[in-house]
Parts: sequence; structure tokens; C-alpha cells
Amino acid sequence: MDRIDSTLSGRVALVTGAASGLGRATALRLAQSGAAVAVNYSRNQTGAEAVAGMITDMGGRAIAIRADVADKAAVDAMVANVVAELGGCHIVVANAAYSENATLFELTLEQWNRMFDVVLKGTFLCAKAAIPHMLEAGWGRIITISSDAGKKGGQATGPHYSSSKAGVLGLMMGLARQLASMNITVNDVCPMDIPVERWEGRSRERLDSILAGVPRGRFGSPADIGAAIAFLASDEASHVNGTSIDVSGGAILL
Amino acid sequence: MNSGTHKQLAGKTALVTGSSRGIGPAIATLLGAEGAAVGVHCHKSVSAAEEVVATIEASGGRARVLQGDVGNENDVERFVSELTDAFGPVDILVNNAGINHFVPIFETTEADFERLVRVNTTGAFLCARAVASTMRDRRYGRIINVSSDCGKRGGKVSGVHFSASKAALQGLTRSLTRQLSPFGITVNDVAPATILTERLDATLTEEQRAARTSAIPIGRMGRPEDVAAAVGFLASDQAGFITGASIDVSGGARIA
Repeated sequence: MDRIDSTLSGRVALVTGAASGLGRATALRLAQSGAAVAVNYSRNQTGAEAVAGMITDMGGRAIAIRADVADKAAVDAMVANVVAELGGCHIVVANAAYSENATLFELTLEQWNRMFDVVLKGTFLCAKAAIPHMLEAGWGRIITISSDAGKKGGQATGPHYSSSKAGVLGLMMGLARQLASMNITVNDVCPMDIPVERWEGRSRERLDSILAGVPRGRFGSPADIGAAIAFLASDEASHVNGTSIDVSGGAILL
Repeated sequence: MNSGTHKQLAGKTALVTGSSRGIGPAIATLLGAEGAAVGVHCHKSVSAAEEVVATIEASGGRARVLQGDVGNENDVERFVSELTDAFGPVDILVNNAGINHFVPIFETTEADFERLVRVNTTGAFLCARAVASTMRDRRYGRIINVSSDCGKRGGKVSGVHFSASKAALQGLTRSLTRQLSPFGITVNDVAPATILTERLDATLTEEQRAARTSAIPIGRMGRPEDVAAAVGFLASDQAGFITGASIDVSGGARIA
């Protein structure tokens, strides 16, 4: 793993849910642009430490840090630790989430609430905790992660997943409007059809049928998501605010 | 919409949440005038809901007050049962109950966030879940969610939690469209921009009124009746092929 550029030198990034999947790729990509990275996890300590280790092995700065993003006290403590250990909190990538398929008929209030706590309230709590530090630095980037399920509904994904991911987009736009004059941009990346660890075990037929719906003709990779996030985090994207970048190989159009 | 003596929602049962105040009474009254038996739901303002029921009954319609917290699943199951016992299974659900909160992010607390999501989004989920099984069994249903333009472009004066909860409601619409449309249930969204409710009318200064109006291409603020008209259309048989859609009721403010 090599350095790509230095566009994020001197910046500190917190990536939630970064022990695996898209979060892991994002943490690595931001480090490859020179950011110091806090690799958040809630359960997968081994995975998070491995990501932090890869970053330090390439000469970067990183820490693995535990917090359940739905727990305000834990989030506040995490952000305070990131600032203390890495010297700031300029970039937040609110990526932590999980999937759980369900139909409206079987979905319980407990399942609904847990999804909203992690996906939507977790994004709010992480952004809110970091904003004072962004204001202090006079520079900030908040990047949310939505989903095509939020934009288009989603067939198998439950109403709780689609709804909370759509809520992330509304939160992103509201934050963008309220923070626009403070040199903090707020944007979203919307991944679609990106194979990650939890796709393991899907049949060849299932994969082929998903692939048939991707105009690009191939699946995206977690690195494709990391690249879009690194762009939004960079100074080059300073006039990009309140938008969502679909990283879907064109599948979002179908 | 009502031509001659034919009432297009005759024989239907409608539940309109949050219909004692604001936009809700106009929706309940219109559905009642179109022949639907209406559950006029309120959280606490029972006397205001009684007035809406009286208005519907005075025009020859049928209605009853339903009271409860849309964010509480026991309350929701109870008032849906009350409505079903009185008028039959719910054919039309209008998730209109909602609260706004005008605070900047710096003053928005976790409790504020939870409260708005609970009423604006979770309430709609619970009401939809409570009526969806009988709609599925009867191969007919109309679910109409009243969201907000804030869900589509973020509010500046409204809190980020309001924008988030209303965008989440729009996401719920899209998810339910996919899951319920195969059973003959349409699911749609109506997204009002600023609507001149009685409460807003009483609080706006002339200056604020002029500023708001100037941002609306059509040159006036929206009225509750404008939102009700869109809901009434989506509830009608004419709109039977419309599902997963969102109608902006904004006087053009949405594009301005």
C-alpha cells in the first residue's frame, strides 16, 4: 500500500465502522492521501487494529477506537480521544451501519429502532460531536453514506434500512444548509452493488442477476467508494456541498 | 373532485393521523366529503378533533375521534382497532401526524432528534404496519405520507432532525412501494413546502409573510386545502396506477 497524494496532509479523519468493508477501504484511502485516521469499530477489534496497523506500516498515523455510534456518551468520548491523540477531528465519514432484511409485516419496533439508532442517530451524533472541532480548525468535512435502498426503496432490504438511509440524505442536506457559511461541507456517497464481506455465500446466479443490472458491466469495489470520499474530503471539493455522489456503475439509473 | 351525487370514496374507511390541527383537518374534511368514513386522529387535542368530526358529520359524512400516540405501538393498534370496529377495515391511511422544531444544529439535542424521528417516521411505520395486513388480504389500499420539502433539500430554519425524519419518511414510502404494491396497495408521498396553517398565520409578521411569499413562484403561500387536494387525488381510483410517487405542493418553491 503506497501513498497516492498529499491532499489530506495535516487532516485527521474519523471513519466509523472501519474494521471491514467500505469503511476499511475508506480509512486506507484517506491515509493514502496523508490523513491521520481514527479507525472506529464496535465489535471487530481485530479488524480495526489490522487496518490501523496497515496505515502505520506505510508510515501514516492511525488509531483503532471503539464506540457504539448509537451511544452518545461513547461517541463524545471517542471524538475527544481522537482529538487528544491525533490532534483534531476535521473529517468525519459516518459509515457505520448493518443490514437486516425484513418485510413490513414481520418487522418489529425493536428492529426498526435499532436500525435508526445506528444509521441515522449515529450519523447525527458523530457529526454533532465533531462540529465544534471543525469550527475550531476553521475547516471541516462531513461525509455520510447512504444507499440506493434509501433512494429507490430496495426490495429485500427492510423498510427500516431504506427509511433510515433516506433519512441520512435529509440529515446531510439539513447539515449542509446550516453549516455552509462555516467552511464545513456536508456531502453523501451512495454505494450500489459493491461486493463486501457480507456478500460471501451469495450464489453465482444471484451475483449474475445483480450484475445484469449494472450498466458498467462489472461490480464496483470498496476502493471506488474510498476514491469518491477522498475527493469530497479534499480541498478541491470545497465548493461541493449538499450533494450525493452515486457510485453505482450506472445502476442507480435503472 | 366530487361531481354530482357520486362520492368517489363512498364505502371506504380512512385514517388521517394528526388531523385535529394544522393541515390534517383539511385532509380529513375532504376525504369525509368524498364519502369516506374518517378516523380523525389526535394525540392530545381531543376537543379540536371533535370539531373536525362535527364538521364532517354536519355535511352528512361519518367520522370519529381517535386518540393516541403514533409512536406507541399499543396506542396505534388500539386506535386502528377502534376505527375498524366502527367503520370497517382501513382502506386509506394518511400519515400526516408530524412535528417540526426550529433550532440550529448546535442546539439540537439527542432527545430532540429521537422525539422527531419517533413521531414523524416511526409513527408512520407503526400505522402502516397496523393496516397493511388487512389491505393485503383485501387487495386494496392507499397509503399516503405527508412529508416536507425539507426532506428533499434540507431545511435551514427547521432543524436537521426535521429534515432527517421527513427524508426518512420519503424513504419509507419508496420501500413500502416495492413491498406492498404487488398486493394492490399504492404508497405515495405528498411534500408540502410552507403551508399557511392557522398557527403560522397567527405568528407571521407582515414582513415575514412578504419574504416567504416572494420565494414562491405562484405568488402565495400554500393552504391546507392545497395539500388535501393532492391527498384526495392519490386516494381516488383515478390514481390507481400511481405508486412510489411524490407530489410537491410548493407553489413552485421546490424549484425556486
